[in-house]
Amino acid sequence: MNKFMTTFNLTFFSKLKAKSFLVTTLIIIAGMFIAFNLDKIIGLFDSEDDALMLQVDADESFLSVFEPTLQSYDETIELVEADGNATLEVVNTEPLEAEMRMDEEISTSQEQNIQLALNETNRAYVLQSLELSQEEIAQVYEEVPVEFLVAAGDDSGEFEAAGADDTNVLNMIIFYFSVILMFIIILNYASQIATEIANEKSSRVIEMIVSSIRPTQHLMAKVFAMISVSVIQVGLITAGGLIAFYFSDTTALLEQFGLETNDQTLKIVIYCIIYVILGLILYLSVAAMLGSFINRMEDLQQGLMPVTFLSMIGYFIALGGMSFADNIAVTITSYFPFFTPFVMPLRLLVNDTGHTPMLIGIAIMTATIIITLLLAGFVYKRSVLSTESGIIKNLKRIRK
Amino acid sequence: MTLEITNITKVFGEQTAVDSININVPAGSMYGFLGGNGAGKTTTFRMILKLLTPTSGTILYNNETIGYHMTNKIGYLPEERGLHPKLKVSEQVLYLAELKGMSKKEANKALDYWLERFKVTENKFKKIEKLSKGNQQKIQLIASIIHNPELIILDEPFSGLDPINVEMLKDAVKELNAQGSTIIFSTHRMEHVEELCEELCILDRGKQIVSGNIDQIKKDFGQKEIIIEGEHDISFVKDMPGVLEMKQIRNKSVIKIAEEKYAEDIYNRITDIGYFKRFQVNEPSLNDIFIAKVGRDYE
Repeated sequence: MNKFMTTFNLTFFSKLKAKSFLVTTLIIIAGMFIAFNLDKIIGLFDSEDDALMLQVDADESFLSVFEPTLQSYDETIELVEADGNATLEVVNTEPLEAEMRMDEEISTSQEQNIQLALNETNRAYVLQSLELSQEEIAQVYEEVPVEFLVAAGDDSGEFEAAGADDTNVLNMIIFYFSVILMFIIILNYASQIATEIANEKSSRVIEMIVSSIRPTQHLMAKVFAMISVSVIQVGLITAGGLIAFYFSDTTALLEQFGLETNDQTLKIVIYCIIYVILGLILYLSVAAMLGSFINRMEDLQQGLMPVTFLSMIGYFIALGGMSFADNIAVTITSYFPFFTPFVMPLRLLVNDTGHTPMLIGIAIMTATIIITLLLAGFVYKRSVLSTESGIIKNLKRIRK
Repeated sequence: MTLEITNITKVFGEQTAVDSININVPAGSMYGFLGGNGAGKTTTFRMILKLLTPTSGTILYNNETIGYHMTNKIGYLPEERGLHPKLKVSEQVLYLAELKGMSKKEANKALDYWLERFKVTENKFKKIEKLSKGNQQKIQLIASIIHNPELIILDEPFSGLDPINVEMLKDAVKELNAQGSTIIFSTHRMEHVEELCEELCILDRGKQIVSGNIDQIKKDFGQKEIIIEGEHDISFVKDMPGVLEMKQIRNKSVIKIAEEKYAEDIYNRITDIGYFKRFQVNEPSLNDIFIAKVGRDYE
């Protein structure tokens, strides 16, 4: 155990101190701070909206409708009685016509908001001219209740509410964030771990090392150190995200994009975290096994191709599978361990599958991770002193 | 007996790398493995260290099978040199020392001693990749002996070094041996074995040609070499009994005889003729033994 920790510490601290680790973590955290404060950043570049003093040349009845309507659309426009930098003159009331004279051009959004407020005022004028009662006016503005139904799809001929299948935007963002993060970290760390192992073998220092520590113990220490570093990075990024969320006033942003939690959100968060960690462990174990086959650095990329391809397929199923997540093919791929971490959260997100498939997925992945690690140890032990150049030759050597 | 190798054989596919080797390495001795490329030296070392499993045979160290429970007592310098290029010298050596069960403090103290001993103190905090090949080799030797092991296995420790560094490393190896470590080392240079070892094993293409105490091997071999220097014609000697070969270069003759007893007859015959300024009976060289056993020159 002591020797395990010696190798673990060397790998863990050298990776933790590496510039690449600090830089990628900081870039992603900075990206999240920017995303959570996007409205304020946009506001910084859109500051001319603040200062429109609008003078309105119209009668009291027009102003009594127009002023509150405009205020509700745009807080950046202030109505003044004199010395405004723009003047809105009502030229005609039936039908309503207006003319806007400005000292300088105003922003498009202000133009649009003035237009909307005018439309609203016009509608009120027309309704008033029809001499409708308050109730009748209220009825005009009332939304028509409509129920959207879709076929249940179980040959019963019944229909069910379509709204039930609507995917919560916040949950979707959590899912996409976790999948993209997992994919980036897999590609980054898989290459790092394979490089680390292959480098050690090609430098031949390995012969001194394995004369002191069991090859399998050495490999496991390295793999666990890398996994720990990657999990710490995920943790730092998540913590950075939470801090960014906490310190940013995100209410406006959440409202703007319709982001609100629902009863599925906690489940999504928990399963996404579990699957990201399991996905990392699985792919890093495979990368360690592939690294064990490699003796020359120039064979590294070729050797890592299975990791790249498998993670890429899983990634694209997850990204593009939203519209056909209930397809049987997606269900099947979700049980293939290399796609499970990408596809299972997708099924949970879209179909709200419940806990059972999620737990089966976790069990499948855990079993695959154990088998992969055992296999990696087996391959490493037999190929550690090999100088065969190709993977195929190494495979033949191991089979002997 | 410290290390006892009995009948070990290693077969890779069609090729027998090591063929029924039997060796006894006494405790505290300096044991030389002599052989050219492909003789089976490295394979034997790897089997001793359990890095390779023998196809057959047994290896015992102090009557125990070698395993990872005793690796802290063993130091190993592999033939193929290499350290982590991106690590600093101190990081690399301390890591390997900790793998041998040393504490960081002990290892650091020992590292300072050996860096001083090999005159490379200024490299302690340099990255390995910045060091010259010779200095990397010194660092690797330090890493293999820093934990003061009982048994030290050095695979071609002097190859690739300049004569000054070879002497420096030889002195260190002698010092470790004097302090009680049993040292096994391989080389293809016969003079290193003759200078350093009491015991040796000559390997050729996986086969054990000869092994044991060097003096005893030479004694048992029987053949001797006589060097005679003088002005008189002694060509008649080549026809005397026991003479195997005679070479004459100007007034110097080199004669090979089957046994030492024939030297006396030769001495008596030539001294009858007159004065000779040199009559010297030498032990056979290891190369003579190799040629006699294998039927061809060494390497």
